[in-house]
Amino acid sequence: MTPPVRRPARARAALRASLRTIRAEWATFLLCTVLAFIVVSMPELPAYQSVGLLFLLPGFYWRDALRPQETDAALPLPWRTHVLVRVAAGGACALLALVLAAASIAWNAATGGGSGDYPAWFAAAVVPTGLTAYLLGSTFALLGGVRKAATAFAVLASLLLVPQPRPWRAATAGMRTPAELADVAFAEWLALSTLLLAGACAAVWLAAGTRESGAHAAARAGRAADRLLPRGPRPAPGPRRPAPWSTVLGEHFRLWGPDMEVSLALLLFLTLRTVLRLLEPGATLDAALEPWALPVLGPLVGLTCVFLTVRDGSDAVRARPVGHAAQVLLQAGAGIVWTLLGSLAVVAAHVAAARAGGSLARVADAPPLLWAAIPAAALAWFLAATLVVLLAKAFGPAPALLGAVGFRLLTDALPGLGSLFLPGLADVFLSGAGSPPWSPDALLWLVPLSILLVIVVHVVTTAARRRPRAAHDALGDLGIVLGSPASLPRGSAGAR
Amino acid sequence: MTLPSLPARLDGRTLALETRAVHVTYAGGTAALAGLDLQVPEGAVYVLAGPNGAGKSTAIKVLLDLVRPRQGTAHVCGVEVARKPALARAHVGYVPEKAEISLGWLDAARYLRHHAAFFDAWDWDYARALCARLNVPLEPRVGTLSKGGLRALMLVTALAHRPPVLLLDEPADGLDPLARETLAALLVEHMAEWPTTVLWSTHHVHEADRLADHVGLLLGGRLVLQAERGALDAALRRYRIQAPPGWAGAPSLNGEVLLREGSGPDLAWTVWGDEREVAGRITASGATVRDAARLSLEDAALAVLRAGSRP
Repeated sequence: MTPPVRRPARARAALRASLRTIRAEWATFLLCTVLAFIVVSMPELPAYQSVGLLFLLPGFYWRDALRPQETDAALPLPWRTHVLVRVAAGGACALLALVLAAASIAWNAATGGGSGDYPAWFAAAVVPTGLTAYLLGSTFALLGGVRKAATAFAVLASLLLVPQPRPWRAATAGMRTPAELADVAFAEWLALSTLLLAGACAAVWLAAGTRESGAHAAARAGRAADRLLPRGPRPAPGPRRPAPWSTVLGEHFRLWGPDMEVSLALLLFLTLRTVLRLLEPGATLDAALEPWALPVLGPLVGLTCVFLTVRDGSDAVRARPVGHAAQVLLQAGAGIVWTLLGSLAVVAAHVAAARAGGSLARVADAPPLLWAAIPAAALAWFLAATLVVLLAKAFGPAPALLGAVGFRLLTDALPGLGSLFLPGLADVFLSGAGSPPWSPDALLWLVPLSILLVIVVHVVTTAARRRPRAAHDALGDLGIVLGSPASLPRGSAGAR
Repeated sequence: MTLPSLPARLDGRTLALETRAVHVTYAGGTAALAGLDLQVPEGAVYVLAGPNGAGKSTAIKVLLDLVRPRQGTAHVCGVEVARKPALARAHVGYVPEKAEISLGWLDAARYLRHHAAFFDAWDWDYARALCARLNVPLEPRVGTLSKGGLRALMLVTALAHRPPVLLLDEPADGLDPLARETLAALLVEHMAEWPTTVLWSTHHVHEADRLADHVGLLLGGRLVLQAERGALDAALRRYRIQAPPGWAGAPSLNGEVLLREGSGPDLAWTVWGDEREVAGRITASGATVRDAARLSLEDAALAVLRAGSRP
């Protein structure tokens, strides 16, 4: 029998396989549904706020596996083709979402349900804009991983808030408001959006080809040892001691720096939205400041930190010379410092913008409580989210869910607790003028929340020590496990 | 368990690690440790062997206070672990059995810098030398390292602060043969330069054969044997026996034979006891002792554990 001729895999077959095995189909369909729902049901919130989300789709799909990993990199397909096949597979899903969104917009326009102020070609504009966002997201994901892509998304979204020249608005028409497209002609849109889409294709094509050679990697590793590991005098032998808490806190604070980039970039985006309004001529505080939702700020900063807090729990980490509860609390402490710094920066940016825009005569005129209320709310979100996640990690989702529901009921029942979590900037800024829902008494609730966190950390770390899990219950595989083949018993047992 | 009376205590020595009557029960109710009396003398290389599930990793976790025993106490360098866990851990370099690292998004160099912050005695020059010796890649994210790369990184974190005690839980798991050789040589050099007590847990005993000077064999959460290597070598022998037709065995050795192997006239018995005395008893029973061979550490461990696990 003649052996079959071996040949490289066909890109088309690989694409089919990628589409079949793509890991996160739910993300596409969820995104399609959300896009269609937003466009159809909320014409006042047009597609421009959601089409850009396709930038994040590569991250949803492939996480950090947009580049082939060790196993599938060995498949008989050229590297660049393999990467592009993956990008194309996700692109097909993105296209599906965009066609659905465009159809929804067109249907809305035809039935008079919305998007009336948009030019007639707007529905078509959603498609190239969305694909461009997807391709640029893929480029960032290829070059820097999912985290860099998320950071780039937030930074680019922030940039989109700043007034832009007409060509750029035309090229990204699918994400624009009717006012921004008023002076854009169809031909201009078609030419510029096609050009931008081609540029995005080129970018992803170039990014797909970057593959580190073995020699280059070795050279980088050699440099890394010199560059990455510090030098220092050999420490004198002395009595051992536990790591000082200040050292641990400082180390966790530094460690989280790079990981805060996504949160900080999103904060920049959210802050810029209102800051730009405050800077407009003739802006007033009540018009510029929306009841700025700390339910947004809280999870934003808080959950990122909580995520970092709770994933740090392997034996290698727990074996460090710090108390277990102390280590978790110090990690949370580092997260709290980041949260407070972020929220204070938000407050400072708004006060400065109000002063620069003229809506605030002097910086000192800003209500002093502003500097406490917003950080306190961010802190409250951080503490609450940490509690929920710690409980979920230790005892499963059910008690944590019940705790969250109970907590939600408590915020309604107990005076002040709810308002601790929900002050908008406008509420506190205008506390002298209106009827603010926020009261400084709410700050007192931080004390029981903090105590509760300490108790929960103690309970969780104690429970982890007290309830070890069996890794292996059977003792029967003694001969197989213990002995190498050479040392297995020779001969049969003699029954004497 | 049908075991002869094997030594299970190392009294009279200064101990770097000790557990007294430690009982640990798993969440499901299974006993992980059932009265463990571990005694690791200062400066020893103590191999703790046993099958999967015997309690080796749990014993090490008790010494680090990662698992709190239901009953009993543990001491590291004289520090009672339950009272001062952080201080106890400051004396220890630890290579965990499962090399999963929850800080996997850090690159290896950043991971080392992070780990170093917890130890006053961290020696960066030594850390660099260890990285070079063990070929630890420093730029990739820890989460993307191979099993061997991760294990090597763990070894660097354990050794670079020159701890007085090393707790190694399957340290060679995932290392290639060359890296295993390097690990053994590295430990020898490390101990020569810096007095260290090593507790090496493994079910591949041959890996530690050349270094071990003390042995503990764990079965069902209890030590069935704990002895100096010399005592083990001196007392445990495999006797090749030429048995006459119709030989009825050696009744005087009943209860002292760990393993009976072979069939027909050629038998091999593994017996704990003085060689002359055992040989004398076999000869007195009518059989001929052709030779009495010393066992490798792995064969010795296997013989004891097989005997111990026999119903």
